[in-house]
Amino acid sequence: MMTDQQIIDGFRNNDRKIINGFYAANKGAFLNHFRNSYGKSDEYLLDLYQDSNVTLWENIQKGKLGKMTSTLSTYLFAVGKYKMMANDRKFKEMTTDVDLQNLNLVDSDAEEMEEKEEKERKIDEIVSKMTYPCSDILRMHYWEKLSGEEIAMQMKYASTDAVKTQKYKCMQKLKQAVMAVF
Amino acid sequence: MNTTEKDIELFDSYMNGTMNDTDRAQFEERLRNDEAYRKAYELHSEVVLGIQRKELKAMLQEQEKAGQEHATTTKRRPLVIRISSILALAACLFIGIIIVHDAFRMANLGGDYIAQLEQPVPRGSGVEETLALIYDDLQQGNYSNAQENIDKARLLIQEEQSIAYPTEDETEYHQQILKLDNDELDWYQALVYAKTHKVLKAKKLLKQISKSDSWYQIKALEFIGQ
Repeated sequence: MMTDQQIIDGFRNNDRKIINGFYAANKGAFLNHFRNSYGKSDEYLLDLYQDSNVTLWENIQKGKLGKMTSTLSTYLFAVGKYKMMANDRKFKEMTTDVDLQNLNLVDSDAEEMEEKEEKERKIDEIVSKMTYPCSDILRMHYWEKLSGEEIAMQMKYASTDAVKTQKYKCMQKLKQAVMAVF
Repeated sequence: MNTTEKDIELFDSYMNGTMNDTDRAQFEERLRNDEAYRKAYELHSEVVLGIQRKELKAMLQEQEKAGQEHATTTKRRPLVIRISSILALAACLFIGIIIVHDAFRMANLGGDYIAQLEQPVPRGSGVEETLALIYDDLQQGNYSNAQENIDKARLLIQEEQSIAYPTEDETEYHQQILKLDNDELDWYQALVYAKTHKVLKAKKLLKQISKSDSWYQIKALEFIGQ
């Protein structure tokens, strides 16, 4: 049985096995809880569950979890509740919800939250349009966390410098596309 | 602000937590004091998170798809198992009915053949007294006693087979009598098996008798044929 800290480390390192394991382990309970408590459809709940896992991962990457006062599963459920309320535009309820306050999940006002989500959506859209070689090189570097040598070998680049240059060009391209939108 | 390759290396290093303390302090100092630099870093980290988010979502989708495929297979499996179980149960039931039916049929036929039995003929061997007892047991429906006496008679035949007679003719004569007694005994045994529902044993012995030159060969053939 893994500890929450081991799972957090797994999320931080994008460990496929750990993330998938945590996702599978909590799915049934999460869907049941939200189905029974809020009467949402399965399709909605599945999206909510995936988004909640993404937010959990993001908060771990940003170091937002800090000292955990609850279990990781409880935190995930709270993220789900937070996201559901945000979707339903129940911002007032969110700011007074004790669970969400205790887990430091509400850190911005309604307007900020909407702005942030909109920005993320647009970034995701731009990123999803990336093509080869940028899609591969950035995935290998930022998701799989491969070294310059490993990327050079897999993508048949002459050197790690060539990888760095290509990665820089790709990032610049992406940033320019994002800046053009905002 | 135009970011350089070097800036991107620093941003990544800070995000990954691989910067040493001095470099991190300097970097954070610059983030606090240089707004353009801070904004460049924020944009960088947002884009990096976007790249990672895309991969994470793809991975979770893949996991979801795999989970659904697994659920479909496991949903189908009980149905397959259920159908197989029903078929197996039906087959067992069918075989069971045949076995029970066969057992009762053989027991009835055994009863008919017992009714047709004739008193054992005294031929001068020591076994015949026991054969007479078996005959009585069968007529009275006392099959456990009949079995005990059959076993006794077998031992007696073995004993008598070892007796040495003065002449060859006498020996041959006694051997023939013992063979007739043995044939009688086999027939009784087959009837006891039939009456006590030992179908396989009865059939095996009847088959054996039907292939021998026993007095009961024809009857055994009839029994099997019915």
